[in-house]
Amino acid sequence: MLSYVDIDREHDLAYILLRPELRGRRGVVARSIRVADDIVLDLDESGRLIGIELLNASARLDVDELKTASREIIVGVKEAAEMLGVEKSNFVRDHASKPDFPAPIAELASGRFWLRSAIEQYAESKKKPSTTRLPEEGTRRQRAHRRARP
Amino acid sequence: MTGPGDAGEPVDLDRYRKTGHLVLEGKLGDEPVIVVMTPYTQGRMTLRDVEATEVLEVLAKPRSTRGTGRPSGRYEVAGATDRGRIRVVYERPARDVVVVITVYPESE
Repeated sequence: MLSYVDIDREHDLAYILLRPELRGRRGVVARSIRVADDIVLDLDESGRLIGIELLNASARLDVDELKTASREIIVGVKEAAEMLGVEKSNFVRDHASKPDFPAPIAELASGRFWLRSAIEQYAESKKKPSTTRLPEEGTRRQRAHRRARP
Repeated sequence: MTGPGDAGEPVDLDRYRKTGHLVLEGKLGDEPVIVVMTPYTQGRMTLRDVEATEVLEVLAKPRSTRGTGRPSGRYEVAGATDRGRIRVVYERPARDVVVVITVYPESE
């Protein structure tokens, strides 16, 4: 999805440019919206999100993420669904609508956006071993075995 | 060098100049100050099409139009320029130095 990340460590700021080809180009931001005390979103003329500024970066991102500027930090519905191993169509019903799901950092006409680290944390919290059902992979293997028998 | 900052350390303007900061003379309200724009701020100004003169103009607005102080030594000021309203976020490492840490245009 992204990206280029500009970091000012001394003042604890980070700017995530979602369209790196726009780096250094003057006036590509048509509108800036402060959606939280420490988050400013930049939109282009069509209202598409092109940049996210974090005014208190260390509170929103972990240090490793700040160091690896090339890593994807923001995810949309498609990426979040992939991270959780569900179809995009089931993602809202099974996860995003649940009260323990992380709040998006932005909700725009083009969709919702989350910090990758928040989704990773949520996914980790859901990795509890099940005692009532066989793992999906085992079930498929058993079915294949049954089919293979004469 | 200029006056001591919050921690009592003198502010080294040469260090700013040598590390890509823009160092200009300006005013904070009616007080003469040195205005420093970081490389990060300059990047935001380019994408958001904000000129250094507009930043200086907003910083020089009368004190009554400025926003409240923010946590951790940050301050903000918003004001109208010929091309629209902008918000400037800054710190004051010394009484006579304003370091602009980011700038963005505010929607009407």
